[in-house]
Amino acid sequence: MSNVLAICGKGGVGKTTLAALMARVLVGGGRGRVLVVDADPAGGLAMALGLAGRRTLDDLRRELIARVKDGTSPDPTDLVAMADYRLMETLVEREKLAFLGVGRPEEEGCYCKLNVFLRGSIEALSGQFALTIIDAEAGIEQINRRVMRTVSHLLLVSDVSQKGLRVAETILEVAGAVEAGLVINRAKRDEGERAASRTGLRLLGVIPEDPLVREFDMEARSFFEVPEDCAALRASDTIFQAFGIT
Amino acid sequence: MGLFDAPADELGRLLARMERDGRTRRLTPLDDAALGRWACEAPQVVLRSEGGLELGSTSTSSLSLVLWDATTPEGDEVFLVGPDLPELEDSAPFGQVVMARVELDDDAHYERYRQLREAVYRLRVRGVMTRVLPSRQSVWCRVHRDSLRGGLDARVLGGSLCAAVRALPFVRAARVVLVTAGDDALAELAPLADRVLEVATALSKIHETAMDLDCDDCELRAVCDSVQELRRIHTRLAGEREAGE
Repeated sequence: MSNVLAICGKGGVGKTTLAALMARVLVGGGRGRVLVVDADPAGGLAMALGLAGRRTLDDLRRELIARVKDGTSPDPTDLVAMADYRLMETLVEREKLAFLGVGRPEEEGCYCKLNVFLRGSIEALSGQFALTIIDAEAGIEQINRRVMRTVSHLLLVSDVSQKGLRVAETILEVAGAVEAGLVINRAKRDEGERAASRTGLRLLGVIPEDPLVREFDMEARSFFEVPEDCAALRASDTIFQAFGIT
Repeated sequence: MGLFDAPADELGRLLARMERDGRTRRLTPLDDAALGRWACEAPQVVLRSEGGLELGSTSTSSLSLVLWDATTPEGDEVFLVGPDLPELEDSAPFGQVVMARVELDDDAHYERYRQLREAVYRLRVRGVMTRVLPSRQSVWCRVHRDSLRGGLDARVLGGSLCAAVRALPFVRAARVVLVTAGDDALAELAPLADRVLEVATALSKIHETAMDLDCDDCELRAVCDSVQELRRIHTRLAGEREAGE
């Protein structure tokens, strides 16, 4: 099974920032190439990586549906080939990194079809990368079998709030048996360890409140530009190593 | 008459003309052991920053054709029109034509043609990312710079395409033509490509949609008039559907 790391948690706890920092850690550390998936329909990860998102997975899904509906590609073999070609076109690249944005369906309602398509796409690509990082949608919506089947490691992110920790525990309950660990983000002094001790989750590390991260966020700058001595970046490296992903 | 007799004949004439003009090279085929060094299990992903060569990318013209006939020689053949891959720089228009010598002992033409195309679409060569967009007959091939340094060339790519289709039980041999000579060379193949697409589309529609057998009022009439095998297939399928109702 490929290494697929999903970063999950309550909204606003810093999943996207951590996903970008993790990607930076991997690429910068020469650990091989990484596939980064923004599975949050709200988007935002492309900006954190300094990339301009173009087509999304949902654009591709809609194109395939249209092909079937208008009868221009009635042959399933051709449809699969087309999906494969367009999927590669949808990737946005930088050195040792490929990015895939999920997008947001135009129609209202459930995202099940998109999540099934997302899972298939991750399965098709992840074997060719040292690690796939998924920045998951907030909450537990994607933590069902539709997406989770591809995930080997679950990184639960929370701030020090009880609400955040409770969501992290719920996500793990729903996800079931998978390698999982907790990251406490934006903690001051020993708040992180104390918060984690209130859960039964394995603490992988604490990311301190970092003014530099806040500054990068405010200015919409790429986290590939943060200096090596950035506290949050160094903590992300430690967390990655603590998870023991090989 | 077979489904692709006309474009297959046209390809033969074109190759003969190109050989006379010194515009194509017939490459010595590699044996299966040599090709095995380049085989891999998974579809390859080569990032742009790793690519030594981009052939027929999304912004460059390209052509991918798959057809068959019964007259292709017994052994595999690889033709190269233009510079070999290590001689190219950065990116180039690209064409690949795969013509299989088939022996069909049943009426499953559509299924066999699908299998043939699938073998081409699913080509696995180490360090070579190929993706085909059938609706546009285009191919996108990105070659990792390490593979180019390691000796990947047209013999490997063409030979691997031959081996991929020859693995099918109804394929005896294959003729592969790789085109790197630029847009003009691809343009020479365009009429042939139109013909192949016309037949492939008709074959697909006949099988995938429940078309009426009313030749007077059928969008496929022109192509069926020139490729009698299509009309025979359509008639047979219509008869089977009627019997099943």
